[in-house]
Amino acid sequence: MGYDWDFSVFWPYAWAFVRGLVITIELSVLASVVGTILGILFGPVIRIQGISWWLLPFNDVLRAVPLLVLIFLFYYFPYQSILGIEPPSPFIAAFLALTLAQAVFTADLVRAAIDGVSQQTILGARALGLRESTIWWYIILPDILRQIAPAMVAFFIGNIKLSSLASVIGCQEIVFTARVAMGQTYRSLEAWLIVAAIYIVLVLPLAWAARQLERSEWLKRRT
Amino acid sequence: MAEEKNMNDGLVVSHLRMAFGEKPILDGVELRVASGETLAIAGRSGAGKSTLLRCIACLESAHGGTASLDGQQYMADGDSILPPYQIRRRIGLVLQGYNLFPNMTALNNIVFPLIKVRAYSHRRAVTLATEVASMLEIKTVLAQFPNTLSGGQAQRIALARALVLQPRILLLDEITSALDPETAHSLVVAIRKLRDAEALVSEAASQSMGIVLVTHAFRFAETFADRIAFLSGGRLVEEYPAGQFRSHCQHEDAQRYLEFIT
Repeated sequence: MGYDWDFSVFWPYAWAFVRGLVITIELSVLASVVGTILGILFGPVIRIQGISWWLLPFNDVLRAVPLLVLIFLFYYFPYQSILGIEPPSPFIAAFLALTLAQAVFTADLVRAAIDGVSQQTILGARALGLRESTIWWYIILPDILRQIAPAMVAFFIGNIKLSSLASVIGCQEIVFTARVAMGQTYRSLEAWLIVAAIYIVLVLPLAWAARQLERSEWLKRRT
Repeated sequence: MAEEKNMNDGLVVSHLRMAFGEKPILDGVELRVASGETLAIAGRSGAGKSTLLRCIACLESAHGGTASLDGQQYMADGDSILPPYQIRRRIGLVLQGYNLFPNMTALNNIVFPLIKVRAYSHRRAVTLATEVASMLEIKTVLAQFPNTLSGGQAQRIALARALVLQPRILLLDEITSALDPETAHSLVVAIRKLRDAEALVSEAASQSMGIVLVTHAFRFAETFADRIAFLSGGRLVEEYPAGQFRSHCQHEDAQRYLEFIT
């Protein structure tokens, strides 16, 4: 017994892997950025009295749905018969699902972070005659960002890995590419090791950055 | 109808009432501070001194009472009748907990309100901030963030950022609590100097500001203030020129309070 390693069969697929990698990066970066922005905008909204009684549970419900199910919902939704529009491409469907997941989790973090902003600091800002909008933009928002930053980096790392789920609806990111290459070369172990190595290269710098962030002085500048 | 013109400028507060639930905290406070004058308010812990200052600065709504600044009424029935931020631009308040912006350097804590509230250019704001900081002996810590400042340094940064805005009335809540007597004294000297400093006398502040000071440090009040008032039962029960307070005051609470002053 002995395994006969052969990575060379994947040389012809090099460009396919690069294209898959680009799609993986596009998908995770776009969803992370758009989802975070939407979440930060949505976070203060779910605290508004009068609507929070239904918006907050609604947000919780969305967070309870597994990402794969969200991807299926966005992809297999009967767009034609209900909305009268063309169904989205696998990439768009996966992007929407990842973005929604990122947005609802961010919104909940921001909601909690707003309560975590020091009332004393806000009082001090008001005492100086600053306008509420100025206080929000220059005092409250920077504090919220500090509070959610470590969790956000963890989410971004998660999004890179979770974007692999898009392969099941045919989005041609890196896992999808590997499955095709594996089917044609019958070299499963090598194929998945290549994919694992690519993810490691993508994720490790972020994990390192997360640790730097944890230790940074910037993060400590809050009360 | 001939409106009676208030010849006295400065701050006038009357019938100010405030309660937490059923418990009255302020029960008809009458207060008057002319520009250039310093009034110290003494009183036991929980007497409502801080609440009084917050109500005057419209950081909290009172339940009743009126207030006016330089003859212009800004509070009716305990509520501000002008946008609160406009009032607070003319009535400065240094809070007990310093309440600096943790995400900004000490310098920017002073510069930022100058730019946003007084529309200073960045360069002009930095020049003024540095000048005031050196008077308060905190020039060396201007590059630091609040989480690295000592209590005394943070206190003086908080004072500096309120002073540079040139309010008509400056309310100070226990500003000496984090300071040793010597530093507290140098603070008094600096505030007096700043009040008359040319750098601060702009077209907006043709008259020097009035100060209302809340403190436990009675001796500090005696040296710094023109008048001392004693807050008890929600009212200012006694008020005398600073030097005469000890000998003249007759209210039971105030006398008991004075017994413990060494």
